[in-house]
Amino acid sequence: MVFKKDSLADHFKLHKADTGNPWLGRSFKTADEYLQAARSVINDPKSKKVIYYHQNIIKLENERLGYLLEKNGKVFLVSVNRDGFISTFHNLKYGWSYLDNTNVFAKLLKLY
Amino acid sequence: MTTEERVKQKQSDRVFPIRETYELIGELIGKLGIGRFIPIEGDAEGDILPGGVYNESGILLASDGKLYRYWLGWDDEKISPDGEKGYYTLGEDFKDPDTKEPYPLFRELSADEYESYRLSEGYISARQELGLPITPEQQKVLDEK
Repeated sequence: MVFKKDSLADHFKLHKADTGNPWLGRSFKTADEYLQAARSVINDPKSKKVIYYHQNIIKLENERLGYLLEKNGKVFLVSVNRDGFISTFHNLKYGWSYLDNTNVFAKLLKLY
Repeated sequence: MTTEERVKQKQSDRVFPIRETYELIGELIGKLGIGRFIPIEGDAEGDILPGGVYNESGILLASDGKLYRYWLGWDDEKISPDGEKGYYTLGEDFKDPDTKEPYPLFRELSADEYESYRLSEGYISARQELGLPITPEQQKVLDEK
């Protein structure tokens, strides 16, 4: 699984530190290292799976499959869109409570 | 500590009204010279900004027919409408954290990226809603849904 063209570079720059530090104790060094970590969340059998729709964009083709993994006391989310592209991978700064806001996760269907 | 308490703590001594994300993006994009728009993709990005706004990345279609990538976040250096330092941004002034060189996160999509949305139902529907023309091939996509 990959990010859409150009999206990986942006997400790596924005999340290399805020996600790398809680994930492995330092910033991700390369976009590929960031991508590999995202893939490991997807492939981890302990990841919880959710289907959700983002605020303002509640249309059928915009549903996301989210993989949520708790590691090092933090919660990480990898989001995959209908086309099979990874759309984001990051640390949820406020942990599980971040998911409580139904304005962001407009419709959250837990599969686990 | 609840999420709400954390947000209030982050706001410190400045008072931020609770903002609705769509309305906020509209304000910011208006300052960039773009009028009507429709977001066609969006993802929360893990943080909560002052005013209880969740940061997010996404793609929007503007009334000029162009697709733009945005990253709704917070810029400590940007001057707010009330003259205070620090305000919301779509990433237009973002700098690469390593090189400190400009790396605008708000930008028009590349030709390759355009192609990946050309036959997307969300993109075509947004074009219709904004009164933009659609091709017979795009109409067929809508008809088949």
